[in-house]
Amino acid sequence: MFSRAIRSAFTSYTPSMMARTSAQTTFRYYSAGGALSEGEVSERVLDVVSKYDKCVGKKVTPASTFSELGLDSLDSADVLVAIEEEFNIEIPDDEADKINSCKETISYIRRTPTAK
Amino acid sequence: MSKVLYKIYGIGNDIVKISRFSKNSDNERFLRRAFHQQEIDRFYHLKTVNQEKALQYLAGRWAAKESVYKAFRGIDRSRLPFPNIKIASRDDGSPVVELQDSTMELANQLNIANIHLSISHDEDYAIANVILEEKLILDQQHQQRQTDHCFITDDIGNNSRSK
Repeated sequence: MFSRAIRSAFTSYTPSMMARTSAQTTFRYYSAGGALSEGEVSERVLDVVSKYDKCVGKKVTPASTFSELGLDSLDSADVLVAIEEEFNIEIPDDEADKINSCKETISYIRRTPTAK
Repeated sequence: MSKVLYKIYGIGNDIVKISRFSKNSDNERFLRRAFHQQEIDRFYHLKTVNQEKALQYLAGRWAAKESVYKAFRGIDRSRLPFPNIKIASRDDGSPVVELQDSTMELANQLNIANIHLSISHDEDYAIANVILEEKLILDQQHQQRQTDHCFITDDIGNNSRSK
């Protein structure tokens, strides 16, 4: 668990995560085993999205759509790859193409038992 | 006598900044999400020769796929996964769209007969344009309903624009 938290904090996909600084980097100790709670998933998803460079300074909520955040299709692909790495999962392409908001991302993670 | 008619189904274009691929192209998962394996192989080959050309290649392919998606006019992205929109090259170097698997089936269902593609690059940007043509077969009764922007092929293969 600890090693996963370390890996997550330092090796998250960073095509546009330039806003992440050492001062902002925090260690997270999420419980192992069992489904992730909605609050935990929501917090981590919003954390990943809000650190994407085009989202820095914007208010990112569970209701935010990628379009509202000014993300185009390439940005969305970048963000979803970062989400995959955060939760150590691989979202099938046909599912990924249906995800257009933070809420849909959270919902997908919540129904993915392998998400860590 | 039935006539074969080719009608523009949709057009699409896209422009993308090449530098946007400088970081995500290092991520295998991103590449597999967006590109066909042969495109990825080609990218890696180009990368060994010239990093700039490799990114230019990737951006051009992305712009082409996005253009194809737009030309399909509002069809859900999940039915047009980008790895299924393979952009190959003809012997003369010009790009050509080779749809794969379920995306090819979708095109067949919509009677898409031809896909025209052009890609260009300049400095930091890549741009692509796509035209989809659908094939219509009209019987005599419906030939009066031909619309503009159609090309008719008669039984001996001569082409003419509809009026």
